[in-house]
This record gives sequence, structure tokens and C-alpha cells, in this order.
Amino acid sequence: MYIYLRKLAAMLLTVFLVSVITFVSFEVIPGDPVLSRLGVDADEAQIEALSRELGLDDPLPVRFFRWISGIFTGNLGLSSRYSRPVSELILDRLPVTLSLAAISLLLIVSVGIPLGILSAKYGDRIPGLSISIVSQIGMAIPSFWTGIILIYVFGLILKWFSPGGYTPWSESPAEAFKSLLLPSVAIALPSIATVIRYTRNTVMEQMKNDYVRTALSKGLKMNAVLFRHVLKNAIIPVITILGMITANILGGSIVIEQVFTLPGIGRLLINAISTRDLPLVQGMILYISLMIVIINFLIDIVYTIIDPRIKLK
Amino acid sequence: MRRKKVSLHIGITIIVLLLSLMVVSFFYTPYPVTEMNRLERFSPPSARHLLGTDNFGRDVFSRIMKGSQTAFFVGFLAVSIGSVFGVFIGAVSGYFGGALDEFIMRFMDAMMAFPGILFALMFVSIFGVGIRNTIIAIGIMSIPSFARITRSGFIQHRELEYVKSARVKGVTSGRIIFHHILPNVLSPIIVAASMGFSSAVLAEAALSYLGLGIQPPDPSWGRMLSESQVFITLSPWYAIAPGVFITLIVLGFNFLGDGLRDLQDRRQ
Repeated sequence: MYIYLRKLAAMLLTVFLVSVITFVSFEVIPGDPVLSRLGVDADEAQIEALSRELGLDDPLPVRFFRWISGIFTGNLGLSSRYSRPVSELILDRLPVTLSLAAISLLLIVSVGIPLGILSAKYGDRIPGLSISIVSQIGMAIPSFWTGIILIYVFGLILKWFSPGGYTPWSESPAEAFKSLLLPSVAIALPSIATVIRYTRNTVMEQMKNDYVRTALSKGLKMNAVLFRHVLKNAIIPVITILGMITANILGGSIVIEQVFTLPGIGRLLINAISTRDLPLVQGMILYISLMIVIINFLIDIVYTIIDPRIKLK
Repeated sequence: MRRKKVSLHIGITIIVLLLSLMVVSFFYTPYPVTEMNRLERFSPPSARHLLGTDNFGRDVFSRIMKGSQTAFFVGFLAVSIGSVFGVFIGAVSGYFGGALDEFIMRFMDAMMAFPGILFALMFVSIFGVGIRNTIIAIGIMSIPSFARITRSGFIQHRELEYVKSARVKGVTSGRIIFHHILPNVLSPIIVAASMGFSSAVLAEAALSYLGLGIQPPDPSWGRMLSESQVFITLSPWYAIAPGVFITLIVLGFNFLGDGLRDLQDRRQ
């Protein structure tokens, strides 16, 4: 129990630091938010009144706590462009991004792990090496380029889907899936490559163990040893990189939503940056990074549960 | 054994080729980079234009060559910023340990919670776009990974005999950190620098693709891709070259990093 409490405390500290970084970063912005609303020829009294109204004359820690408590009350300030609460705007766009993330994760796990095992099985022979070279290339290809090529090939030449279109799940699940599949492939590709390489290394490391020799010498088939014995041991280190993968997926979808013009939080963020809607940018950065901190925390907990050895360390 | 050096060789080959392309671009490009030619818009690859022309009739190959300057410049400076600060932070944190270490590492963890691109986006939305801020943002973004790697090297070394004897002889902490330990823990840092170069180039390309990185007239492979997407039905080939070159440079530094890591593993 103690170990979970410690992890929880560490997570809360990280949450606090992430919020402080996000808050303080936006404090150093050149320019006065009051003047930019009132215009340069506002008089002293007007400036003071608006500052008080916006709570800008309070000391920094007070404003920080007012802002951060917005996470719980759902009010992280008003978007200056949409004049709607930041949380509401984010919630509107969340389904697209979460669907992208879910499909990508599914692709990463279901393609990356088996190919990694296969690649390890063939070791330094041709099939193993070719998988590892392809994965090396997969890590180097920028995801937005993959996206552009996928749009061109599947959207414009083969006409399997209409680029730039998005159908919500509520209208037609099949259409929604169709419009989300290719972007998910583009997001997943670099992470698939990473998972292949990582699985390959851990499986090859495991193969050196005595238990593998024992299993093989008692007559088990190679595949049985790999999938029944080795996989169980190799999967644990792979789970540790899931945290990194989630960060990659969310980071990737910021760019890919732009490539495929999908109405997710990535596109909202880029629009907010281009229109200098800073309260919205600030709120979104907080939400996205907190999501990642919490997912990492959960992965850490799962990891401790499935591998009891960790508790002893 | 021999095979292990293959990645090192591939990496060095790719990097040397791209570096020579960059060096040449300072003195010579087939066409002036900004020369527009209305009559030759969207021409396909030909003997006159190796990689075709873009929407302004500018020679794509010349722009790719100039773009390599941006890629190397951003990669080199961003990695320099990240490694100098990261190594310093990691060294101090790992050598002294204790509450300071705990605090610094918590802070680094918090920074790592931001996906790289998100941090860079936050930075440019506060300080504005452009090549300088792109470099600083990517540099800061890579500090935590350098700090972590350096720290773990220092933790392994700080209780070793040679460090203890230096301490007994009264060598100052600063000297022990930078003259005694640092040279011994340098190789994983060099591997990280090579990998960091790849991530820096990818991040720059992504930012520039989004229009929030390198601004015109500075040439950038990432921005070329976003321009090419607009005209993809008119000239699909324009979208190929910038992507291939981004992939090549990233591949080169990844292979180099892998090769260096193998070398280092073998020595131990």
C-alpha cells in the first residue's frame, strides 16, 4: 500500500509542477492584457477597474490558485475568441482526439508487439533484419508526411474516403471510423516502429535465459515458447514505454489533425495559437499534459500490480 | 561482430552526404533559391529541374539544398542548448544527490510530461514564431533527457575509488564533476546527442509544417511539405523530396546513435 501512496504523492507533485510551469510561462508574455482589451488610450480609472474585474491586481499565487481551481469547477477562464469557457471548448473536441488515440493505440499494440516478436525470432537472419530495418525507417518518417501521402493515395487516387471530411460517430459509426482510420495509421506508424524495436530487444534479451533453454529442451515448439513463456516476461518492459507512446500519440494527433483537417483538440490548439487566444492555449496545454501525467501514473500502477517483483525493489 | 558496425557506417555515410550537400549550398545551388519563374510552375522532375519546380516555379532541388542548412543549423544549436544545460543539471543533481536531486528530477519529470511538440507550441505561442524561438524551444525540450542520462552516469561514478581519492586530496567539487567524472560518462551523452539531433529535426519539421516554426523566406523542409500539400493534386512529386530528405537526416542520426551505442556496449 505504501508504494502506491508514494507514487500518488509523486504524481500529485508532478501535477502541481506542470500547472506551475504552464501558469508561470504565460505570465511572462510581453504585452498587457488589460491594455490590449481597452486600447492604448484608456484612462487610469478604466485600467484599474478592468484589472480589478479580471482579478489581475491580485498577487501571483492568488491568481495561480484561482486559475488552477478551475480544473475542478470546469472554469479555466474564457476563450478570448469564442467567449466560451475553455473547458467547454475542449470537451466539444475531445471525442475526435480520443477516438484517434484509441484506434492508434490499438494499431500500435496489435501490430507492433507481434512484429517485434517475429523479428526477434528470426534474430539476425534476413526476415528479422528486414523487419528491424523497416522499423528503423518507420521511426524516421515524419508522421505528417505519411499523412499527406495517405491522403493522396487513398483519398485522391483511390477515392476510398473524402479528404477533409469528418463524420461524427453519432451520425454514422462506419463513416466515422473510415475518416479516422488513415489519420490513426499516420499517428501510429512511428510508435509501431518504436514498439517493434523495443519488443525485439527485450525478447532477444529474454531468449538468453535458462527457462527458455529448459522449455525448448523439453520439446516445446519455438512459437509456443515465444508466445507462452517469453511474451509474459518481455511484455512488462514494453508496458513501461506505453507512457511515452501515449505522449507520442497525443503529440502526433496535434499535427495529424491539422493534416487531415479533423475537428479535434489538436486543431483547436493550433487555431488558438494562430489567433493568439492565449487563455485557450494555456488551458489546453494544462489539460493535455495533465492527461499524460495521469495516464503515466495509471500505467505505473498497472505495472506494479502485474509484476510483483517491483514492489520489492 | 562485423554486422554491428553496419549501422554506424550507414549513419555516417548518410550524414556525410547531407553535410556535403549543405556545404555546397553555401556556394552553389542550380538556381537562385528565390528565383520565380511563372512559365515553369509545377514542372515535373527533368534534366533542367532535378526535382521539379514548386508553385512559384522555383527549383525544388535548390530549395532542398538550402533547406539542409536550416535542418543542420536548428539540429546543431538545439542539441547544443539541450546538452549544455541538461548535462550541467544532471551532473549537479547526480553528484550531490539528496533533496536538491529529488527536486530537480521532479521538475524534469514534469517537463517530460509535456509531449515535445506541445512544449514547443507553448513556447512559440508565448514568445512568437521564427527560427530563433524554434531553436530555443526545441533545445529546452531536450534538456530533461540529457539531464537524466548524465545523472545516472554520475550516480554510478560518484562513489568510485577515483572520485573518493580526488575528494580526499581536496579537489573542488566543480573540478571533480567536470574534469574527473564527466569524461568517463560522456559516451551515453554522445549517443543521446545523436538521437536528440533526430528529434530536433523532426520537431522543427513539424513546427514549420504547422506554420509555427521557420518563417519565409528561410527555407525549411517542413514548410515545403505544407506548401506541397496545398497543390498535391497539381503536382504530387513536389511532396516527395522534402519528406525523403527529412527521413534521410533523421535516419542518419538514428543509425549513428545506434552504431555508437553498439560500440560502447562492446567496449564494456
